[in-house]
Amino acid sequence: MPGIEVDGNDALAIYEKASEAVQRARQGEGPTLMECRTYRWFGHHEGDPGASYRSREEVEMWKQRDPVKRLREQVLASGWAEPDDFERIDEEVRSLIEDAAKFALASPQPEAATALDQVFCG
Amino acid sequence: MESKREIEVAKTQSSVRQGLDETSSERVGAYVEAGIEAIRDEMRRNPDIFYIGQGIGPRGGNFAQTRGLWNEFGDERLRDTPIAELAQVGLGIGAALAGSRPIVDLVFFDFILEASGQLIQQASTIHYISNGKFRVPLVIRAAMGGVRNTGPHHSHTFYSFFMHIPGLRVAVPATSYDVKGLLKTALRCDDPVLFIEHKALYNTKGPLPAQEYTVPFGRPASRRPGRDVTLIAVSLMVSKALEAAEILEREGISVEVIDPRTVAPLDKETILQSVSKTGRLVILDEAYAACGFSAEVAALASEEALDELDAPIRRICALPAPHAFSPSLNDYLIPSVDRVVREVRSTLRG
Repeated sequence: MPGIEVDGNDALAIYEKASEAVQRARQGEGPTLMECRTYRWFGHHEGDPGASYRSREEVEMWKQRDPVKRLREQVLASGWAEPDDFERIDEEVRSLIEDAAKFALASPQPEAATALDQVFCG
Repeated sequence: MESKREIEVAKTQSSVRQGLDETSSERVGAYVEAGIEAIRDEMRRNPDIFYIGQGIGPRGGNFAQTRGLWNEFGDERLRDTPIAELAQVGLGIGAALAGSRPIVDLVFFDFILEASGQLIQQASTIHYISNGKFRVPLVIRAAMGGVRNTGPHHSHTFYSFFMHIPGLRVAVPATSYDVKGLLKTALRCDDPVLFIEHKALYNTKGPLPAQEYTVPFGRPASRRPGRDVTLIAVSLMVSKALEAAEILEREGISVEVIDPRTVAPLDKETILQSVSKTGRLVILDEAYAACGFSAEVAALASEEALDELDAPIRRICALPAPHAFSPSLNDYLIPSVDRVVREVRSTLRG
């Protein structure tokens, strides 16, 4: 089985290599192992600064390789989309998250008596 | 005039209290410090002990449960592992067979499930199937219980699962004193031991003698003497039992609180003697009722002390649902002091 290493912060590189792997699989040539090298910017959970087990420099180095920013630059350079398209997508995502957060914060705590609901399907 | 039985009970309890010896210590320390102290002492004493786990090296553990140990013992004896519980426990068993005394820290007790085959089918059986030729002196350390609403994957109290398995020992300490004393016993025991602390207790403080002592397995602590009802609890639930007992005392209900400290081995005598004295038994458990610690204690009393009981045995346990993230739901599922007071009261008043 072939094993390949890919820059996990380069969406187009992953697309390209994954396409090859999928094609191999569809041709009956078996699986491919893809190692996409990437990084978690934030802590392990909300409230973990993620600083006690790695250096600030390491985190900063990976932030320079922001995969979203890179994809945006690649797409703009190729002329596949305009800056306006990205702004519209950003706005859609932002309002989706804001609405969800508002809904969650405005909702009451669940009734204690519902604590045993949903353990089984019915 | 006291009956013969009451005198015997009183004698046993006073010896249990002496065994505890908590009141004689003026030094006070945190539950988490007690664990560090026991490990430091034992690692200095015994060069065969080493310690592995996730983030327990230079970082000092999620709960600061190994703080300072790496500075003293270094990578040679205290080493971080990848996130792979099955491999950690497997490595521990192999090293124990080869003559070491490993401590495998799983940090969150929930993740014992990832390694349960190793523990249940290998560690617990090897001494038996080798006809006593091989020993597995392995200590699994982990913290159980829900704090800060961490949901079903980081909150469980699955210690009863391991009471079911012959060949395993299971300690569930409630105090600083017991953490130090029981952990030392675990590190001198030739059987595999699960040493299960409680996250909500790590920052609590209690008597912690600086000098050498051990707490033997299978020796309960009487936390509060009482006449009317026996209340059995371990780990965090001991403090809820004591709070409830305080409230009930004001109503004229005298509650005897007993903490078995280890659930495997589970000491029968102290429980049965107390039930014989009070005539009523309530078991308080942070885990589920079905097939759990509470079921085992209830079975014990019904098998061996049925004639002594003046009321049905009652169990106060987590309600049967996964832990909820929502604080209001989780507080409802886990036994509260209010619930303990209500249920003990109705055991007395029918």
